Amino acid sequence: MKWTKLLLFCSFVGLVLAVLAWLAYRPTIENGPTTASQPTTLPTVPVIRLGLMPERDVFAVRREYQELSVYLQQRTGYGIDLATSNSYRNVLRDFEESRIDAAFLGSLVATLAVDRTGAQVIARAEQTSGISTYTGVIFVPESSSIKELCDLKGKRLAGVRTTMSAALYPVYECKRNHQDESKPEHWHMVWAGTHESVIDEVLSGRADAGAIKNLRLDAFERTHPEQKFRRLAVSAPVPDNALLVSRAMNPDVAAKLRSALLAMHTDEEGQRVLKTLGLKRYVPCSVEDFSAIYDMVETLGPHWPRTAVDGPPPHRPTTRPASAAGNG
Amino acid sequence: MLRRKLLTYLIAMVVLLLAASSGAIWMLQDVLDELDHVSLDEAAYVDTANRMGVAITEIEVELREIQLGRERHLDNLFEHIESLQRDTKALDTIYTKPMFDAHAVYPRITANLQVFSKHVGTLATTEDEASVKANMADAMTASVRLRRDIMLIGQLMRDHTRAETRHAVSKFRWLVLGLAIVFLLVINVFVILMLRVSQMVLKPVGQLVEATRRLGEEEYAVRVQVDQHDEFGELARAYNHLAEQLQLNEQRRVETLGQAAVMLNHELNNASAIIKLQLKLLERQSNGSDAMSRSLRQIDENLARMTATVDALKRVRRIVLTDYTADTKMLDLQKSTAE
Repeated sequence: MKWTKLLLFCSFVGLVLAVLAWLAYRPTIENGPTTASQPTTLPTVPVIRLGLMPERDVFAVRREYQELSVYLQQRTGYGIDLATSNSYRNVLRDFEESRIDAAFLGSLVATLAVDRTGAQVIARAEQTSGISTYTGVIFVPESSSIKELCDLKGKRLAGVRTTMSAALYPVYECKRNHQDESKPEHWHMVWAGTHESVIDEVLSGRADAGAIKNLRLDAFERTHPEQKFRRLAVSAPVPDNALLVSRAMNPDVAAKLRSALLAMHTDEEGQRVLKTLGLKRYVPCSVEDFSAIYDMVETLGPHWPRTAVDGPPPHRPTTRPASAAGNG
Repeated sequence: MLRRKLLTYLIAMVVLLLAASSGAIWMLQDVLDELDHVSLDEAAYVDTANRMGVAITEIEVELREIQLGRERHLDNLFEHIESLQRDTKALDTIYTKPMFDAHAVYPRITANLQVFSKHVGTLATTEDEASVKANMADAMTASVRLRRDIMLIGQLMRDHTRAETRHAVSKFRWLVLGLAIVFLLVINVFVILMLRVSQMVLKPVGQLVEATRRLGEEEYAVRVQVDQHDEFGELARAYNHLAEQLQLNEQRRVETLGQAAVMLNHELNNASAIIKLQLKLLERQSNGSDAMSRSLRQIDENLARMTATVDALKRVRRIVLTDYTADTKMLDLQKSTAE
């Protein structure tokens, strides 16, 4: 009797376990991820709106800088919101209208931001090769009949508005060589959105020549070895993309941001992010490093409007030393 | 022993039942999983495809806003493109079972998305009219191809899930039929086992009841034949031993009675012979008196009856008692001598 009871009990337990197992694994209707989920808490940390410019493939830029923003959030404790403008001049407008607190800017936009909004330059990027500057370069496909700048007369030159390499430098180069004092830009400009788009314009034949920063052209040549280009002129080096903070930014916040950026290469996570960006580290930078820009602007003088940059030219900050600008 | 046998049968029945139940649950679960996968994955797939369509439209709207100068930031555009890229990747992985028809379409969607994204990126940043026109045409073409492929993949998905549902339902029907047959068999086996178990108990109990009843009727020669090596076998052996003991006792009593009858018969025969001799002498002396003759004849008849009774005692096979008075028993000679 005792054994029978035990057996019945075990059977009952077994059946119960089987039913429970079935219930545990029975198909359930899972709710999909809610797309309109509401945040349960509001962010309490200050948020820095970080502007980006469309230097090259905007999606790649976005992906890379997202990693940087996550890193900076962790290191500074501030929230970082990225704001990518669709053009260089709109980054400048964002700065002027205080729609961004900081931005990674090209050299010409940086000098304009410093001049027009009082923004401060705090750091610039150094490539893995150790170079922290870039030059403007005017190029044509190697198969092109254009051999030198004067051959560009009447041709289409692709460039990017409000950039040193693709807007200021070509005009400056004309003026410097006194090719046509009355009309320095004796070519027709084709305005592309990014440096990579300039290369596309040239390769597609919609432009005869292009003007971009040398780093982009070098990178393109590395990834497309079958494409060869002839460089017609190269500018003096200017600082690569620099981080500027607005004048209104709290100095403590700016200092924290600067420290985090300059110390990136000293920690493992920072090195990983830098590698994603194709950089070695960030180095200190100041407005004095942009002297080549001011030299070009001063050389242009009244011809500044021909760069197609809105507004007045950037003025060299006082006590800034003059230096040679172009070498091409 | 009997307990062990019963337990063995019971365990066999429980194991059989559990095995059948577990198998049934496992197979049903399999079918339910399949149906579950079809409904959930299809819903997720359709959601994703719809979301992709919406994202393409939102990208086009956002692009238009940028071109009109109403928007100068690309962040919303990025979000839509990233959402589209995520969903494109998800399309290939949402459906947990291979959908071979769609495998040719995924790479096409991925390729078109890359083309679309590239042109959108250019359109969002370029300021050259010719470039806008050239990229716009390419972007529109890629957009149309994307939408067409998304619709196609949705159609393929519906066809695929319909086929899978039909297969699962058909499998479910066969499974239900199969399980019904299996459980009928299990129930039959159960009944057969129960019958066997009941026979194992009822048969020896019936034999013992019958033997006991006959023993009660003083049939001491009855024996129970139970070929079981269990408690019933032991009980049958005990019963047979008891019956044997009772039979021996009875035999001893009958033998004693027979010996007493021989002795009585001997003594009674001697006395009877003398009495008969004296009766013959008295008959000769009665000189034909009827009354005397009648009395002598009655004495002779009763003497014969006594002799017959005592003689009958020698033939007693068993002792059968009957009521003589309310509290006294006497030997039922007729029954005791019956064959």
